[in-house]
Amino acid sequence: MSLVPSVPAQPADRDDRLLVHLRATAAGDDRAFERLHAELHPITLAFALRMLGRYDRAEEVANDAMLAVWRGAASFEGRSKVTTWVFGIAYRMALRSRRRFGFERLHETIDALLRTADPAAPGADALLSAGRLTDAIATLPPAARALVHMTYYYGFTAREIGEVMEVSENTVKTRLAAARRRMERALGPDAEGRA
Amino acid sequence: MTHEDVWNALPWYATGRIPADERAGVERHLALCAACRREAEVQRRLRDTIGRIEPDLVAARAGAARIARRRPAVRGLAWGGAAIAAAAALAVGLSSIEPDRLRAPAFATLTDGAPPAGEVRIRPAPGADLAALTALLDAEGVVVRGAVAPDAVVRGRIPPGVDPAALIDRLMADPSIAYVAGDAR
Repeated sequence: MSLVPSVPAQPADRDDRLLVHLRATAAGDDRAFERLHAELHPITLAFALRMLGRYDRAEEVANDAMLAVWRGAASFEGRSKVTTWVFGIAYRMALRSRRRFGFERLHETIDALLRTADPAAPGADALLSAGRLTDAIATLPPAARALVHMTYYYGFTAREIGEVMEVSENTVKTRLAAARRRMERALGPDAEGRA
Repeated sequence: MTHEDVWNALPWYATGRIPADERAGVERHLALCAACRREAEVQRRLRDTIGRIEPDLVAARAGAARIARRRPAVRGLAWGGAAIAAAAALAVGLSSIEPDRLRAPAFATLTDGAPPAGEVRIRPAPGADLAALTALLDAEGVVVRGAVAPDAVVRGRIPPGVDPAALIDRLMADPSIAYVAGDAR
């Protein structure tokens, strides 16, 4: 069991709800921000954790992202979904955190702890196990990890990922193609059941 | 759509998050290209497998606690100019995917770079007693710039003659504080 909420599909009513809370937050309604915080903090924490692999750094990013949402609520122009706007904030903060701590040797990454998927789960594929795949994802730089998780786990469209990363849809596709090739090399020959 | 266009679009074909016209183009190509059909199957499995990978926050939290015990000042973050330059060089060297630009927010956060020497940045714990926190900072001689607010980073000046690392350790030990960042050299 995991405490991290999954958002594989983004229900449309979720974004409507978030937008209502965000508008109210911009108007100075602290209760609305509390509701926004309750919903978005766990999601940004899990996303940052997937990017950085460390709980303490991810928590800093999630806290800072919530602060940025609170301070920046009035500047949200509605050109993207609230979710992608917040992911964009967390994404940039996680990259900054990575730059600051990239050289640090002391790390107890949760990459190892990510291997909690049950290998005996129905449909589990021995050739493409969650553990091996997690190892492969761990070889990617944080920005590429974010891209992989936004695509396959969070179910974002290429356009939405482009909004988060502030690049074009085509750039998203070519970057993911590069990450796919890199994961494939990390997984080794036949790992994806081609043989 | 070219073969490469389709190959690049296959992850979103697998997740179903693809515009209808693009989906039609992918399906026309799949009917003719065995390599892309195989890749589409790989992408479907990637979607299924990555969708099951859940970080266990409890275990991650325990990991963070173990780090804190091994190195007491771990959350009192230490910076060194050379280390930052080396880290930046390493990050640029290793990352083939970098953001086009990084924007710094117009207010203080814990992640927006190193505080200047002599300054600490403090984030109150959720639900912290702010009066008690203010009293603690007073007792430590930390001069706060601005107000102590529940959802803001507090900036404070480390009093002269005080060892920043020891101060950070003492502040981190207080339950009203979630994080302290400062130059602990």
